[in-house]
Amino acid sequence: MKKLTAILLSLVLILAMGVGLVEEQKVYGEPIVFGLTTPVTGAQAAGGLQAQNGMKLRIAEENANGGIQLSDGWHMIELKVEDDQGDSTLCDTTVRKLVSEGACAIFGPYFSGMTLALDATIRELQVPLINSATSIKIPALENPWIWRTRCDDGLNVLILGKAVIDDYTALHGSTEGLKVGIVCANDETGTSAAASYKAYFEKNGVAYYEDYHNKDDADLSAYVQKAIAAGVNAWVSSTHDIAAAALAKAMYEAGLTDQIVYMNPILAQTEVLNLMEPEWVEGWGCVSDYAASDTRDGKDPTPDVQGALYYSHTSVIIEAIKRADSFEPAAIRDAIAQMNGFEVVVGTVYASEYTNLLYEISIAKIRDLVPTIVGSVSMASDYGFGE
Amino acid sequence: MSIFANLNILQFVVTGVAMGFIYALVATEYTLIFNATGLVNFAHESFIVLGAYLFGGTFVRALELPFLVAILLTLVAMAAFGVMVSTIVLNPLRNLQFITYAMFGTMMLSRIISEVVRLNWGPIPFSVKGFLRSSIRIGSTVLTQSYLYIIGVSIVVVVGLQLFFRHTKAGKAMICVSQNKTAAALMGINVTKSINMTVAMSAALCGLIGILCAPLYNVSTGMVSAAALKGFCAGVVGGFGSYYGAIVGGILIGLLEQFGVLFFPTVYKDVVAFAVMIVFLLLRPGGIIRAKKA
Repeated sequence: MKKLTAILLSLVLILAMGVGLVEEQKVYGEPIVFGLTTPVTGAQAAGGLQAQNGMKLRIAEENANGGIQLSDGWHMIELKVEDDQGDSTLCDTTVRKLVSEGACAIFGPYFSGMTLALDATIRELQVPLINSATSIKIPALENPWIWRTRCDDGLNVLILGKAVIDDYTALHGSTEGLKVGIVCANDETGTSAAASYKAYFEKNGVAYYEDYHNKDDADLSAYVQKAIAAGVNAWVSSTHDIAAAALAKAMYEAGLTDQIVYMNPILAQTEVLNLMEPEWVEGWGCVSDYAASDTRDGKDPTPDVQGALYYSHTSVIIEAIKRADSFEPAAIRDAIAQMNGFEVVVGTVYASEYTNLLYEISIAKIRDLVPTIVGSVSMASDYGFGE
Repeated sequence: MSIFANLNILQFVVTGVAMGFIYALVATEYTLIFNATGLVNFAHESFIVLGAYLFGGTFVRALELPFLVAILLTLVAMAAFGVMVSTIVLNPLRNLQFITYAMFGTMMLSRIISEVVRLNWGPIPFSVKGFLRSSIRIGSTVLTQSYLYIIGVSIVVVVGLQLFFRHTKAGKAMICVSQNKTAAALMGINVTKSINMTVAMSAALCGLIGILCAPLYNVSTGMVSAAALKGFCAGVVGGFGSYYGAIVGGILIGLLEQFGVLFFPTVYKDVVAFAVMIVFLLLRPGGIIRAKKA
């Protein structure tokens, strides 16, 4: 009996070692380098940190499975990060450095204005660039190397504008008396969104008042007072983290706790909500690529919006490399352009001719500082975009 | 004209005065170091940020100390930091042949402190929950707790500084050092020690500004970028080197920038302070109250 047991154990051991040997026979080629240009220092470093976290998580998952398998063998993914400090000029240098170090795809930069500034550089370097910029001007570049796994402001504004009108109509029976305050940052993100808001409200015969603040303005009390004096009774805003908190504070202090307010995805970001008190933004709405109550990925529902977006960008590039069976930049670009129906954390990818990959977004309401998804809009099925 | 008819002017006055006192405190801090060393400390924005992070990031959030204890520890820590900076940076810099080098030195110091703050506490802004965030409403005018504290503390600081300089031996020694360092040394005053003490007071004041600004702007590395520059403008407008001038200049700029938005697009709010400073530099470079150094 002992002899039989020993033989069986030996067989199991040999089999186990065999499996191990088979595992070790994976042939590894050169690593695939992903380049991230993002603010690591300076005022915008928080967004850069989220971007890094999202990418590192996705890369770690892929590398834990051995990396990416191509026909010439396996390739581990290596992430190189360069600090552009949120500066357009510096960003040009960081992108060139990343490409010179072998990056087959560039992730970032953080802002729309920086992406616009990189147009010529990316055409020259001929490397795919993927990020979360939302400006409506980016598709107009018709740059075949730039992609976004995110709804752009043109689509977000349609949803936010409609939500304001719907909420007001539900309360008052019609849009009579509605005057929307468009309070936006004075950078590319804010001004391009404001242009879309104005066009939308003009088309729908809704009165509006517009005002613009500096990107990092921390005191918006004067803006709120002027808007009140102008008769504003509902609000839309496309802005950034510090200013979003400042607007919420100024409105609360002005006693505007029962107004209809909708904001760009910044409001759903954890670090932005952490700057606020619950009563400042209770019931405010926003569009969001990802929110704490989101269960689309079936995973821990705590990642931040930017983290989820850069996780998704990374998934898109990994999938493109697999489909192309190559990590040559041109092959990756062509594979992205043919992507239709690929699921990522923030939705389903449908590549259009230029730039846009995603046409769906959720509407969230803030409840006790937690963004709660109250509905999703698929622009592809509802409005015919993308597909 | 209808927009003017609907405006709550009193709210603009309250906000303008409160912001003015913040600028006044910043100008006071500039004045302290300028009087002591002859240098304009361009690192003071980072000093303020460091104070806010020490208070909110370390003493309140990490160590969960009561607000009052956290405030006291922040002031002590910032004073100690001031002595260190004075010894390592400001005292050696003031002896350089060209003052421009010294100015650049303080700018580089600012960058170093800013990045150390980011590395130590991380890049994500945060708020100090429950600290000076409530408000009271009188009619349609809102008085926030933070505004009331800013005004009260600013008055106490400026009056306290005046009393200190006029009625204490150490204060009088500081005035002597600010007026003539060589003569002060010949009179037996330890110039280096006096400068260290002034910078320690200045750093503690920065800590106090950081604490007061935390409920207004939240805590981030760029939380007082605008306020720090406007404080400099307040100093120039009020009269650089004068503590009362700092108050007058601060309140004037606070009010002008609030009421300026009634006549210009709101986005130009931050420009008002700089425009006023340029006008004063051209027409009355000595400021409203011509400085008599402390």
